[in-house]
Amino acid sequence: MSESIAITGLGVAAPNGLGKRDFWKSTRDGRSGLGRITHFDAAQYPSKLAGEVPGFDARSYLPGRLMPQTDRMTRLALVAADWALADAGIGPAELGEFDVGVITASSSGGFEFGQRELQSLWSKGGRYVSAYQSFAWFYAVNSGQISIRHGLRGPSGVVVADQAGGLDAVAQARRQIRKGTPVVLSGGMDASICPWGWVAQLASRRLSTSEDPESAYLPFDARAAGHVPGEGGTIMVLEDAEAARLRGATGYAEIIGYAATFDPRRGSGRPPGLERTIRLALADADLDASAVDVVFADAAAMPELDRIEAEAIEAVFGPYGVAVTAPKTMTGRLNSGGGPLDLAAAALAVQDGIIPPTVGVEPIEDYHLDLVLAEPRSARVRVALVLARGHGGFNSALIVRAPR
Amino acid sequence: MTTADWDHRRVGCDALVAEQPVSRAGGTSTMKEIVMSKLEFTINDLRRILREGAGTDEEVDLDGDILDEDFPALGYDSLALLETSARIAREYRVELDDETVTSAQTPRELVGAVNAALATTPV
Repeated sequence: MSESIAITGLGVAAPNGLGKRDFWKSTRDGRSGLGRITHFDAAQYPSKLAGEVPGFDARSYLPGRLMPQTDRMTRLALVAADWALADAGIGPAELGEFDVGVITASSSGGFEFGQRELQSLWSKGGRYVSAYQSFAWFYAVNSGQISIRHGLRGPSGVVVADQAGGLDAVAQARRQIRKGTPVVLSGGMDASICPWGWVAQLASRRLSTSEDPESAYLPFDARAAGHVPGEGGTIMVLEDAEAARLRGATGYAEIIGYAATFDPRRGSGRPPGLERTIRLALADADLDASAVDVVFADAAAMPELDRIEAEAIEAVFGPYGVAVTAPKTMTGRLNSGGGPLDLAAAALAVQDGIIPPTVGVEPIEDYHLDLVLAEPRSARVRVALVLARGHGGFNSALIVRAPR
Repeated sequence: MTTADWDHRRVGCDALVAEQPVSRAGGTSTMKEIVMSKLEFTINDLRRILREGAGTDEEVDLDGDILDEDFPALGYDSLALLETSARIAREYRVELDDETVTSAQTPRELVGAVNAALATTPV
């Protein structure tokens, strides 16, 4: 068995494009999917912008039996899983049922579904709560429904670590493949743009209150004042790279390094964990920092968090030492879907030799970042580093390399 | 005119009348409750509630001859039957215990169980 894990299939649902092709075209072209919330009336809320996945008609993709029992995030995850399997060119029928696992990340669970049922409980009573509430709003429901739909009974589970969780889930999938499971569906999908989900996100005090989609989410900019949340993510097929090659699949990229740390308590005097996370991931990949061609930044757009990230990147790569980008300026932050969507963009950047841009940002000069701005940059991309941080102190870093 | 037609006409009576309290032995009921309590539960009622509560498998013709099909063959698992029974219970104001519902293997058995419960439910 080889040490690396291949990404052989991608299923993408993003605010600037439903499906891998639309997402990547929009992302290369710098087209944003941020706008005023349409899923509910946000007029009375301090934050009114979001990245909503366009044109998703679940009924045209999924059996009717799944509709009454699924939240929007699960419908997106199920369709993305279908696309990922098709993209990888493997059907569960070709594999034993215990040869495929499902390990996804989640941040909030099925909040829109849960809100509706809780409203029924308060207003009408327990008899009016759907039996499907028993699982439809749980963190693990996307993994469970993907597993049931395709009869996948390999190692499965869910990882919860806010925005860092998506990379952590992919890393857990990597562990299971190394232990002998041939294929794992992984990634993350979140969609909680509903009043309950919105209030929960507002409580983080990290949401932008701007009403201008073009200047609401500006990481590394002097105007940075929070982010715009989005919905969506990526479900991907991961396989042992050698096994994938044997069946003739080259894959988009190989996962060769990963690390996760947790920030020290505030006021402890110890440094934040992000720089160490990057160094540990490089060590895991057995790479020198100079081998990295692009960094997909976490891009929190909170001044202190931006400074911490810029300092970590400068400490490891030197001033202006590596191309940095944040295509999530076009989608918003997708919680558990954010890391996997960046990973999809990194894999496509490796494949196409194009670094997608960061839109709208005028970076603070003191950050010494070579931020890819406004236009996509043509570049030989052999190695990409993806960073993700979750609220509460989660730091994760994952490194991909072009297939050998 | 079939019994089902007659019942639907009765259910369609003036809503104001339906909500009027009516004194009967054992307590006060509304006209609607009395009418509902006498309503026969039919396979078409079950079809509608299955569609609303649990959805339909595309490969299954729910309008076909399903009375003696097993629920799993129609795409319905035990949770789908629990959701279905909860909807029947609140719409028809009838007590259905979980075991009665989950032990029904076919639509015919479930329809029978609901009608048996309707017949013994005090109004």
